[in-house]
Amino acid sequence: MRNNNMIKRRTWLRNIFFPPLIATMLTTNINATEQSIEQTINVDISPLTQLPVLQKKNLESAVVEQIESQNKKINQQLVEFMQNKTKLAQQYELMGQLYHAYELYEPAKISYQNALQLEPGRFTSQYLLALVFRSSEMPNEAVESFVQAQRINAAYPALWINLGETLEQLSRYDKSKIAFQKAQELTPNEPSIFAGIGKLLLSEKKYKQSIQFFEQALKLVPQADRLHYSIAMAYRGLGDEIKAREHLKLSGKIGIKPHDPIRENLEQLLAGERVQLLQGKNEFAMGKYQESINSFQEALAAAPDSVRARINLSAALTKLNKIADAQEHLEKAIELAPENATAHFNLAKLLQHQKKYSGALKHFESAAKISPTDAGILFELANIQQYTGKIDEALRNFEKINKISPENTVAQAGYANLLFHKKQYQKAIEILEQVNKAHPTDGLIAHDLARALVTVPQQGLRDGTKALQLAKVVMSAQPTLEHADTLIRAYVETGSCQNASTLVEQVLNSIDPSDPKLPKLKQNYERLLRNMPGGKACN
Amino acid sequence: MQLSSIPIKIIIVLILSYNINTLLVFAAEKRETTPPIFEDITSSSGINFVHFNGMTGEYYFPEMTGSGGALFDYDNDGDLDLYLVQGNLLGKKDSIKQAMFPIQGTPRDRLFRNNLISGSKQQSSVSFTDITEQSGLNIQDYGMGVATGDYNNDGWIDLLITNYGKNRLLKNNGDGTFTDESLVLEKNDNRWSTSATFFDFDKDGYLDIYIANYVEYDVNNKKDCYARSSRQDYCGPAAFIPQVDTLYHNQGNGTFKDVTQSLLRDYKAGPGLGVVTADFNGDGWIDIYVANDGAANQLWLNRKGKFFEDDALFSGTSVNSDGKAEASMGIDAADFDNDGDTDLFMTHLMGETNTLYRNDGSGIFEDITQDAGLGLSSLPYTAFGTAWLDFDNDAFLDLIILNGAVATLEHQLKAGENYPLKQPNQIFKNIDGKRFQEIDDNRVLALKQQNVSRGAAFGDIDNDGDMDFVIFNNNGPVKILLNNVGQKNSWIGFRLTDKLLKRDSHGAQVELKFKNKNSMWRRVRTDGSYCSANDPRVLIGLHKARDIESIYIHWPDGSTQEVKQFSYNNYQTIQKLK
Repeated sequence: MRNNNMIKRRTWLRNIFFPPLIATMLTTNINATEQSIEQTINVDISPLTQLPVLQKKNLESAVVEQIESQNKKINQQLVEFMQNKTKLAQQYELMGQLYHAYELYEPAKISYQNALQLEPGRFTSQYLLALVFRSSEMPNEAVESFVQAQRINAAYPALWINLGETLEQLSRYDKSKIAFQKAQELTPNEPSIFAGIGKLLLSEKKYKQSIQFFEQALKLVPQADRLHYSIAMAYRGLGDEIKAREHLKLSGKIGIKPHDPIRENLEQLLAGERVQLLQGKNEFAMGKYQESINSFQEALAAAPDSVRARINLSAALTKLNKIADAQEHLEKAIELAPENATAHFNLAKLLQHQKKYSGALKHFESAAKISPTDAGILFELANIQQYTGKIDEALRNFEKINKISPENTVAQAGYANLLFHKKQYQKAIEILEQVNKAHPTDGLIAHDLARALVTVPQQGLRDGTKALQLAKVVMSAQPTLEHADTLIRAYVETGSCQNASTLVEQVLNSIDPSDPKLPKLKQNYERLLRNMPGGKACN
Repeated sequence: MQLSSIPIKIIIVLILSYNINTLLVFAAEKRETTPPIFEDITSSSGINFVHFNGMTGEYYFPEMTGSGGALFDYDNDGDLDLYLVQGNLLGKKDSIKQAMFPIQGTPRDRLFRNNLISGSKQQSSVSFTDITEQSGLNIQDYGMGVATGDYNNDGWIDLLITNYGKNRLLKNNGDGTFTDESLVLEKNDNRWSTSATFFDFDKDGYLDIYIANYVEYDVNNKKDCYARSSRQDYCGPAAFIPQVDTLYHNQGNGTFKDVTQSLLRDYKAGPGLGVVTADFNGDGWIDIYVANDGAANQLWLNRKGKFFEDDALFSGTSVNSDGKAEASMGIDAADFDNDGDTDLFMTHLMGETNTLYRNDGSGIFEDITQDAGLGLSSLPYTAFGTAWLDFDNDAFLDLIILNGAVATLEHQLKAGENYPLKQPNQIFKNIDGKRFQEIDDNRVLALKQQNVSRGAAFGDIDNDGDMDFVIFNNNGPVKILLNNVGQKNSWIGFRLTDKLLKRDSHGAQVELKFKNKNSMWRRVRTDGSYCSANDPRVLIGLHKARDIESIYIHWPDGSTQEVKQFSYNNYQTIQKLK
């Protein structure tokens, strides 16, 4: 493996002590596993700055592919560099926009600066550089860049609005006002200009004038209900509490954004369906399932073959119980990408939910074949195998899980229960005891062990005292019917007749009298209490 | 390609000459530098606590939000002891070794006793002794914060520990041990609590409690959130349902009743992170201010102890000047401009300015952040803990701000930082009650160390008459910073207690009247900052002046008492007469 730091250090020294006869590539180093894509070309590109190494880890492959593709374009352009600076500048600008769109501001800044180094008159690069500075909380640098940009093109209104807002942030109110006025000369009816000037006047305590400007903005965009807050504060300043409170009641969350085609274009650069996918995922995370469905559907419209969009859409549809639609999208996803384990897994879960076990089994098997070391998939597969009577297969899968993920106590419990079912009692109890020792606070294991110790048919393996101890702890932490049942059995096993009877009574009283299972349960407990150790019966 | 030997020689010569020059410059600077304002004494103090957040790469939301601690005198020996809140493992992990940043031993809260000798001033070296074992405390929750107050009026300060999970009320037995009395808290369920405060809202003599709760979050059913770059990152509060805060009424019989819904009119839950109590509108009743993360803040005005009304919107402290809710985290309330009312300062997310609200005395606030010079400097940082403290005792309250990001900082990730949320802390000097200036030089190096700071507790740890503090770093070591400069100016300090109630009189105010007819007001409080509890004593810097004409104590019950005998550069305990 090459030591990239060493290479870079050498390059740096070489550039200091030798004229730049040879320079390393100035494009992004895609660095995932310390591999670096570096090439050597024979051109003097010393005024440009090398883009920082992109940490590929955890970035989606579509994003990385997109950046790599742009990287390649720059590489190609570098070769033609001596002939055509403009084309190279264009590519750097595009690279900057790409990074900018993904909010990776540092490489975006360098890309724009490289574009401007090659072609100082590029308005878009200069303007977007200013916006990057603004987003990077560097307002002074942003102002400088906005000023440079207006020297190239003073007829772009959003530039003046952004400049005005940045100057206001810097408390340079007079200059801010001038910037807003310039914007207004270009677009007299832009609501964000009225709002901006209104805000300036409010900070100068010119309440009456500020209200006029806010009202004008509101007239143009009535849905911008956040403006009511500013109006309320102006009325409060005037001492008119009634009007202030009236407007506070109307204030909401919708603000105003200036019309800015250059900025809006950044959104288009996000990889294919990425914008909607990202939005959908965040909406899904917030529990806004219908909104997330809309976003995933938009993603699908942008990229009909997007497997990710279909998988996500089906998850959102499932949340709203639209099972048939969800299933359809997963089937289509599998059609598009038969090797996608997630699609198989999700479809299997969906079929399992519908009690279509054979179909579910088939897709769990497919998922496990594609991802043979995924403990989550194997666990679900083992469970359904157990449910459908494929005990040996299930046992094999539990064994696999235990090797892959030895800390998975749920799988260990499943394995032990299955062994118990296969009458391998001793081994099952041994496993449960080992896991219980390693995870003494795990209630599931503690319960399974207690249950095994009082239900194992081989008397020699029974341990009522230990079971009682475990069952008591589990019951106090989580008083369920199942846990109570185990505790009753432990009482019976240890001869605690009175405790067993009391708990039986409590359990039976807690069950709805109309429950059809009640008589059978009563019968079972009566039988249990008649068979105390030593042949005694409890009364 | 190999470097030739000639350039290497040049490099060596250049490096050597550079170093010599640097050393010369450094030596020259050293001669001129002033001593540090704060000295990091952690390593010599006996405190060896490292916060454990339990992170395992799953991006569980709680892991980057904790935690805090308390400075309080648990044994009534006249000095501040330290309670430290610890995190734990989250999710289905069983072993500390599974964490990305494991610690040695079992993670649990710790209590350290301050070894200052009773009655002494400024021991040469401050040290603490770990007394967790002997205090009977064995708290292994996922801790967030702590509030302090003597809820049963027995003369011993008790603790409320806020958790991701059930909270704990720890009764101080007065013999060096604590008893878990959590069962006395009604509806103490598995919420995610953050900051809390003890205050007496109905003037019945018993301290009530307000607990800020954050959002509904289930580690076993977690949501995944992503940065725009597609990288997985921590979720923000908007991804979750905010939880209802808790207002507890102390029933006076050792139990607390949840009166949130009955007393907070038209209550709407917000993701609460900070809480502070003070009489903001000057009507003699203690109000509550709650800082919510990404939702409107609340100013609960106390209507004579009968109920509360949220007037934050009209007061101007609910949202920013654009009407947009910001991500409020930490908070503190004090009279920074010495005009006799309580102002507010709160900390925010990167890209949002921290906010300074000036009170006009009637509970109407004006956002003066920009004009005060506190806006721009806060934009690059996400801030949590904060406090008004007069570090140089020049009679104006300065500001300390603790920073640490909540989403991955790309440049740190690129640089190989394994917990890329680190940011430097900040201190701002109050120039004249109107403007602030950041101190960003060698004098505050101990404060500027990059960490993921969250809570901080403030108080005079060495009893030398200036404010020290403790920083609680998430997934990092606790830091104790001793103030080296404040005691050089004059000061006066008070512990205000109620003889009948046997406890610190939370909410009482000290009014100093000077010969030039100016006055200064400071109040007894333990709340503010983030997830932390502060020294209840009132310490007032006087600059060089010793021209106090009279001193009045305004007790929470509305009575006023004149302090007829007082001395400078000393703490004195004032007891309420009746």
